Amino acid sequence: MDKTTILRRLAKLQRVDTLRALPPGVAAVKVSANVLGQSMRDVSDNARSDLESFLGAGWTFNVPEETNLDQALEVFLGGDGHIKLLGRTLVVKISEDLDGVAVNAWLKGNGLTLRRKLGFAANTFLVDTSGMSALNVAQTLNELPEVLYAEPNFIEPIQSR
Amino acid sequence: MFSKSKIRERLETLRELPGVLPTRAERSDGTARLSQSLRSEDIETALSASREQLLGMSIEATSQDTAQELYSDPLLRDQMIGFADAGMNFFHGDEEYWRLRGDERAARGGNGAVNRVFVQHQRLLLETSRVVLRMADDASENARDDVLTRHEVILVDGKGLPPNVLRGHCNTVNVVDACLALMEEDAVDYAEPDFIEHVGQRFTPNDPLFGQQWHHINIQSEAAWDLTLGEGVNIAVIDNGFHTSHTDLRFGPASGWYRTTPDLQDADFVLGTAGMPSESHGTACAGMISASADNGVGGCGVAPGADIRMIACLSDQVGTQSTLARAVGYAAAPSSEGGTAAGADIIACSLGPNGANWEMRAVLNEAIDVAATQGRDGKGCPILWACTNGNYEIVHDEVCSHPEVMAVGRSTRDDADDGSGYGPQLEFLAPGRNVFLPGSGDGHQPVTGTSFAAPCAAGIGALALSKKPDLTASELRTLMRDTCDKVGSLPYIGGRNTRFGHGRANAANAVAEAIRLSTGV
Repeated sequence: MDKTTILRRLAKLQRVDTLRALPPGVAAVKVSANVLGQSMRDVSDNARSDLESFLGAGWTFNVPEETNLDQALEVFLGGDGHIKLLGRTLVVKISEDLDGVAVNAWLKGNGLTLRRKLGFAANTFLVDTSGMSALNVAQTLNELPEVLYAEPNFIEPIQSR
Repeated sequence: MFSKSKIRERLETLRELPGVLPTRAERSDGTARLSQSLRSEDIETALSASREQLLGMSIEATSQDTAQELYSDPLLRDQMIGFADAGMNFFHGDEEYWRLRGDERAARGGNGAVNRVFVQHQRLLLETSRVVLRMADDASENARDDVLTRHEVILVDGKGLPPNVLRGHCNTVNVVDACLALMEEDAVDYAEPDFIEHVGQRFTPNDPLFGQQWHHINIQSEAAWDLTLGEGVNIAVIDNGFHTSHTDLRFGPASGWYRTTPDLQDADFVLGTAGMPSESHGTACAGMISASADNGVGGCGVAPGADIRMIACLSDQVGTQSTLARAVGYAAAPSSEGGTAAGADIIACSLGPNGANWEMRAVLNEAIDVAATQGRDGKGCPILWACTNGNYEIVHDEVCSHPEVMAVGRSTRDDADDGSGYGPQLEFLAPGRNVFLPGSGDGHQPVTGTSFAAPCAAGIGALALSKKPDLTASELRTLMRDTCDKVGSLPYIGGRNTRFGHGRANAANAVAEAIRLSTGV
């Protein structure tokens, strides 16, 4: 997948400013169906179905002003009409010209912390953005020539068929 | 009733084995040794047993070379075993002997009943003087007698045959041509040589609920199982969880699962089934492929002899595509998670949203690319994925539209499409409506979804791959496409249409084609 495609997709993401997502077990107060309904009023069936999946998995949603932002994830609607939660991790693939030492230095230089190497492909990593917006970091990284792709590690519903 | 054109086409495509004839049927130590050595694939001993047996028959023919070309192909070999058990062996006679009439051959110690030997679709067909024909319902008795007289057919005992169906002795050495001539008559619905052939015992599992698994009939599992149960093939099933204690499932040693990290943005791989999430959906998917056969429990998988590797991820149906990508990567190359097992030969996955759209992340795209091109030591790992259950174009689902992914839709008991995803990306359909599979509570339930069609197709792929393991992913894909049944009322243009893809997958056809590719026969 080329970087142009990824950048175009990232540009199409719509932030749902009226909602924040809280992982299972974190939320003290559950948002009322009314708030959710108003926030997601004009969204697609896909998004509604996603919302049910999130709620079913124990996620809660709240208005930003009532949310502990340290633990909250931003809510986005993708170009495919599905809800995606933006955490603080992203997947980045770096040129194979960089060896292990160079990769570590590169990650550090870009303010990224290695979470794990994805073993199925060369020089592909799951990294923490150290508090920076994974979306902004991904957009910036995709401008670098040594980056083959960088994409936020969105949390999304992936149901069974 | 078969049409005349279909029977004509069959008769015209029979391939004669010139000079090959059977001995008379006479069980002996020689035929027993021949049968036994063929069963154990000891071809050298089989040849020796055959030659000894031929000498013992005292056939007056100048040449009596064993027809050893019938020993190498497994399908033909199976039939040779059956004939040997019946006391028959096959040899090449000299031309003078071969041209004799049956009664003359019998007088010289040979088999007087068989005129010629044919092979068609790897089946040996022994032509005798007997023919079976059906007279048209409106044919008068006079018309019938006239036809029989002109074609020199003398009726023989036809007890037990359906109305208007007759059995006759044809007074010619070329019964195939006689049948073709008979079918030129308006008074004849069809005419076929009453071939002698080996009809072996079909493998039918004793599982008590097998009879409820209608999908085995549609995809012709039993015919395929006569040839393989999928041994030697490893299938990875990626799903959100499995009932690890289900008595009808076997979990391969490389099974494992992804345990979500506390921040939910990552997952740790856990090798083995301890703690694996328990879900009915994955259980049914795995059971469709390889539920145990002949274990006296439940039903039976499409490839019950295949090894299966269950990989659970995204158990609460929420997670990241990077985890799904890792599951695909692990399936094809366990070393990606520190494992030592070999990669799977086939991957089946039935996860994904049921709406029209699914955007694929670059990381999942790459995992699929790598598995499909580098898996199986570079032959590529075939990936079968359940398409959306909704009535949507698959093109909007980027995972199922991935060029290396075979998108599988679901068909019904009547071989109709069932309103799942459609379009040029649809590979084919497989049974997926009210299919009876392992499920919750160690039980078995009817379930519906493309989720079960994809593993059904994966099982068929495993059966084919077991007969030709060196197929590339692309070659297996072509084989599976080419062997689909063209079901449904929509026309197939260029071998496919938008609702059925290449048709409904067929296990027997796929296995037969794999064997043909493997042996050249």
